[in-house]
Amino acid sequence: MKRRFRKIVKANQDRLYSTAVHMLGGSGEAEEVVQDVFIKLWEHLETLEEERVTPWLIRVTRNACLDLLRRRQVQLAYAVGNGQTDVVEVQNPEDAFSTAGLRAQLRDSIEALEEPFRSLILLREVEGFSYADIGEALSLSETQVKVYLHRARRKLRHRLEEVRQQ
Amino acid sequence: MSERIDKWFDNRIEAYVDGDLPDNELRMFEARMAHDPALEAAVDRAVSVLDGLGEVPRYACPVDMAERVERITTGRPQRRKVARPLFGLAAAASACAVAVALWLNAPGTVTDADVALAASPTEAELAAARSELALALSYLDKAGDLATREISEQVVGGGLIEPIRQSVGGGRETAS
Repeated sequence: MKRRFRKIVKANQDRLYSTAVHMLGGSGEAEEVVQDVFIKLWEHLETLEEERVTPWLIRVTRNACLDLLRRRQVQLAYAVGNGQTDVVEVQNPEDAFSTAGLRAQLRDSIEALEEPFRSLILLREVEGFSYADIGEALSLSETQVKVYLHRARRKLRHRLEEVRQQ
Repeated sequence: MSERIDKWFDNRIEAYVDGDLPDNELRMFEARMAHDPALEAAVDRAVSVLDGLGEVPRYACPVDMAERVERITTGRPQRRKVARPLFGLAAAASACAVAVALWLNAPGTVTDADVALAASPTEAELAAARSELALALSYLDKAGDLATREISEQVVGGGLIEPIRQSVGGGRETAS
């Protein structure tokens, strides 16, 4: 069991950690999330079939990140209500679609995507998980994954076009 | 979205970039693109988005999670069951061992008779004393081990990890 566990962790820890960093916007909580995901894997390993391990890891990691984000939103709402935030975002619209500008705009645009589009973009286009694994993790067919991904990228394109036209 | 692009075509740009359009739609799409610069420009932007996504940084996990998780989880459930009920017993055994050790080495008033006895212990007395000392030391070792486990359990097994487990798990874990 130990050998199987190590093999699975080695194959998945970087992609899951990277996904969590992108979803949470930082590395500190991401490390804790991934650690906890693998603790759960250790506890459930004997009941998981080989081909279901990666979708299971994706699902548990995503759920953990979404839970944390929900908790953060509650805290943010509380802070806004108490006048504790001072967020000012300055962007240069002309930079959209230039290399550096695209990168910054993309980061913000991905962050602004709603679920499941955001997760789909990160899991597939950034981390390269297979359509099959993503589909099983998010309870979607492979065709649905592709259609949703096209829609997500279209949203990103529209957002960048809007920024450019401002 | 550029208003000059028909919605039907706009909805198919990403599928076109991925080569996922069925043949009949592909022909219509390419025929339109041939005389619609706005659609062509939108396709270029869709390619830019895809390229940009390919350049989003990936992050490597900074620690060996397998090693860390094994260290945290190994033997954890058993420790919790065994360590707590025995901790009081271990403390009592430890106190007894210390008392025995102190008694064996008590300075007290030494009489001539004591000196005489001490000077000539029999082999049987020596063996019995060694046996008692070994027993006392074994109790002491055992108590030390159990105390160490108890502390470890508080720090690693539940005290620090449990709140993280609860915050991450949050009731949404979907293990089958």
